[in-house]
Amino acid sequence: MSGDKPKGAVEVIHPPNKIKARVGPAGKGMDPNLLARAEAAMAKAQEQVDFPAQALPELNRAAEAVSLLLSDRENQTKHLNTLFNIVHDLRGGGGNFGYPLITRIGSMLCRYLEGRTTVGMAEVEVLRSLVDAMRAIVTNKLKGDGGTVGQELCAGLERLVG
Amino acid sequence: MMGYRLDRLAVLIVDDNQHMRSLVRTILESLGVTQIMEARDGAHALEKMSQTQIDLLVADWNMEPMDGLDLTRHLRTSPESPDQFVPVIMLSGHTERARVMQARDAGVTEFMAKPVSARSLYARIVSIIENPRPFVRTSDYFGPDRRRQMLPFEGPDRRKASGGADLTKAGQPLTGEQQAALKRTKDAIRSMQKS
Repeated sequence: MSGDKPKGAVEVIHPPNKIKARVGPAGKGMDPNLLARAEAAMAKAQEQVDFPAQALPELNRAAEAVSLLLSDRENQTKHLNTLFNIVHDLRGGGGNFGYPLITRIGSMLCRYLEGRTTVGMAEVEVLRSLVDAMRAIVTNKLKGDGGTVGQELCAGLERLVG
Repeated sequence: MMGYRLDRLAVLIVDDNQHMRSLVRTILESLGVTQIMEARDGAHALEKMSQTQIDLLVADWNMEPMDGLDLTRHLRTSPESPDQFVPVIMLSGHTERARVMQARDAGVTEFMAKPVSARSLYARIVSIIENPRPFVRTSDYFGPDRRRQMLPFEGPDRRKASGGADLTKAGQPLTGEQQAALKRTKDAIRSMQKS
């Protein structure tokens, strides 16, 4: 649909605002009462999710992918992708379900992997430490900032990934 | 204060994570939305859209087999698109600027970094209602006008701040400082495993 336009030509289209027509003209901005209600409902829903139960099997899969980086070297790119996708999903969920340390360490791992298609022994050691740290966090249900233990662990990992 | 009648909207949540779908559903229901449908990936979303009129999509980025980016591209440019103008709010754990730009170039209407919050989702819905973006067709793009910035991503541009992975060092042994950090973190993990 976009390919049939001559190079350089720009067509601007103003489609009808179907959503505005549906929701009516009465509102303006965010309704603070509605927002408060949504925030309260969300907080309640977040408490009901057992994030460690969801995350641990995924982290075990991530650990397996790390092991395969050395035992199945010819498919390293595939295993790195698997690892990235697992951890990327977990870092998204960690912040929502009370485990910001998973988000923090998961972000370190994703950044570390960006642009890498192969890895050597040293990188595998780094990746293993990051995954092990996340496993330890969910196993110990280290919620929030993780206190001194969690902060020291993250500081060490940050030095490790550079 | 009178709000918008969000109960009249039909919203499709597309995410492969059931907990995340449930969380987004909770927010939408609290905002008054009653017609909420769910799909587990992009292909499933297209199937749902072929059956029901959808006003708004809230889609995750990382999904298999069809991710949120491919879904958006399909909606904007495929001759089989059920609605090429449908607003798409993209949820993602990616916060890097380059990723936000990638989503914008696929034709996403609004970008929302995880963790999800009620405020950020509500703000984006209101933005779509009050400030609809014109669509632009060029030789290589069809979608919302990219000249208007999407709402800023949340969180620091960490990749830019850190410089990202140093690829020149790929495959090289760890430095002395890294080895010391590795030992300390292994000890810390071991003591956590024992406790």
